[in-house]
Amino acid sequence: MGKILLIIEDDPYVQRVYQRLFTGQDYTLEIASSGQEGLDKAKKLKPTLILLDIIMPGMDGFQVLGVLKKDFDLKDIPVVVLTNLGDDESIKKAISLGADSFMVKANFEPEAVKKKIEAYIKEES
Amino acid sequence: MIKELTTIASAFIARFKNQPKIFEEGDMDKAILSAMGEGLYVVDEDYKVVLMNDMAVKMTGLQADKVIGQDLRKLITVFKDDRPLPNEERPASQVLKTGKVFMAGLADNLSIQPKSGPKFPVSATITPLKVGGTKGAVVVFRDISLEKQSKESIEKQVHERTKALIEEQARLDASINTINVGFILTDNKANIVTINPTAKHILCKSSTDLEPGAFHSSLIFNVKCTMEDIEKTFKSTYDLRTKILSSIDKKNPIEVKELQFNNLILHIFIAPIVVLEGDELVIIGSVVLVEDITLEKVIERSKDEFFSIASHELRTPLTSIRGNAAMLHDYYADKIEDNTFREMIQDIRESSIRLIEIVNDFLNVSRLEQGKIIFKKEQFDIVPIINEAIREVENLALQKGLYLRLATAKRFNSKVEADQERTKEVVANLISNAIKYTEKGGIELSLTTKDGFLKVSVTDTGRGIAREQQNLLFRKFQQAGESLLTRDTTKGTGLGLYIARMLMESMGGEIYLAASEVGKGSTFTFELPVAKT
Repeated sequence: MGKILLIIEDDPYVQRVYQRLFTGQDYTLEIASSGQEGLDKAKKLKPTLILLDIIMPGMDGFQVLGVLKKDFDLKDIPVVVLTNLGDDESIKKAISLGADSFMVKANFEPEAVKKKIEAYIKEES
Repeated sequence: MIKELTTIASAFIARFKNQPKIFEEGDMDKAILSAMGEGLYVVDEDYKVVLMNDMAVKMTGLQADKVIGQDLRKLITVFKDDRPLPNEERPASQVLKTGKVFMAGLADNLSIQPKSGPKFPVSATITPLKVGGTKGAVVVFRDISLEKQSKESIEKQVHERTKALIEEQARLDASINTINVGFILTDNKANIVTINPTAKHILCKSSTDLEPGAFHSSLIFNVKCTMEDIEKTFKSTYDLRTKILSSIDKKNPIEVKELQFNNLILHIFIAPIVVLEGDELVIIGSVVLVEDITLEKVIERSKDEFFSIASHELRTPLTSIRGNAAMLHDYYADKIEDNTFREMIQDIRESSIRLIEIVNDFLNVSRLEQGKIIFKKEQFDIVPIINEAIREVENLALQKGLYLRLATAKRFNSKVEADQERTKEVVANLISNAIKYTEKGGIELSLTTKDGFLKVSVTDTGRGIAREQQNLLFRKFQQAGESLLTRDTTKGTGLGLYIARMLMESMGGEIYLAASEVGKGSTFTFELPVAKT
């Protein structure tokens, strides 16, 4: 089974940026538009890496992270929080909930995000 | 008759003296009479003057030898409360009639007026005389003008002070009653002595049926609000009585900055009232201030939320503008044949970056001002951090053909104690500022140590800053030499140095303009504590 990158992100414009960025790579891209959809897809697909937004309608990223890290099958999947919340409290909260890293979307250009993501994917064999 | 009474008077006077008989009887009487500080005269039962001493003569202005045998009522008028007394009401008439001693003091408001002289207030003692079948009266009196004056002036003072006190009290009451902070005075047993309407409104409202708007009406004045009434609803939230007693006991104020009570957030302050009695500090009660800070807190919270929402809502669309423009440039460059198109895409990208930086600056300022940024205490070598910062911005220097370097100095301990990431931010900010304002030459960074601090200086060969603009540099929204309308928006928000200053100060360091000369360049320096180990 090939490597899968799961992006949980509600904003369609941002979704499409990542879609363009990660299409045509040697891993499959899956997009979920809400926290619940993200959890469903994670359970079904067991992705190699999850990119997680925080502010989303319904279930926010922190709640998703909490569920992921309590699930025996999913807790070892690395999660990179990719959000536009950049305050210290949110970063601390995400890390304490088990996120592997935290990036402020607006501050990273796609190329930089891609490099960081691919480093994770390469590590996971 | 007169002669008899003279004898009687002599006998009366004899009562005063208890002296060895140095003088003849008559001499002694005369001497005593004239030495007396009080006026004295004796009348018979027909009110004829029998005797009058020197002081009485002096006070009345009558002539002693001409008054003997005269009717005194025709010589001196007596006034009570400024009303001339008819003969039968004169005190001596009463004494002659009843045979009882009469005494009148300051309070009796008695005065006399001799036939040809001014009226003056007197105190008097009139004693009946009865020797054999003959009756008479001895009148001893004193001019009490001075006492009366001083009494009046004391009364006036007392009146004025009382008035001032009443006015002061009224002002105080009005102040206490109108301030929108709950105010309570208690005795040293925590019983309420004074409570203003605001305090009643906050603490006793639920025990009454008052409408919310009744706070400003006079109804609230009539609401009963004792410590027991307050405890009915408030004790489960805050045991006010115990806290007051503890504040009194420890002679220390107590403050609760935020207390949730029903739908309110309260700020409570309790302070003992201390008086110095002799050498001892005595606590006579306490002052309790109860402030409703609900609205402030709601505003504060919505401000926090606003920045959090703004951070997300503004940056999300900017992410896709920047991301798409960057990808067009990075991945589709070969498909764009038109140079203008390429430039337009680059402009979109750079503008979006600038906008993101502005949003980031605003957010940083807001978080710094609210103390929401957590600073790490890390010990690290500053040289690699400086090199990283140089790498981040060296493209800008390269584009303008400027040199950008770290002066190679003698090796010394360049380890500092601060937050690594924030330090890099400050270095990068100083370098990019230097690049912005330098057209030729370049920027050099250098390190020195002094008194436990590591100094990092950034020296440029740019336009320099005029002296009158130097002191505004580290303030909010300042760009040297720019007014609001002439500011150079390509040079940033004017928050950079303000943020740098706040970051440095939060890390125990400082930042300042070390030197600057117009046309030659500037040196900005920051200092951080050297790592102790």
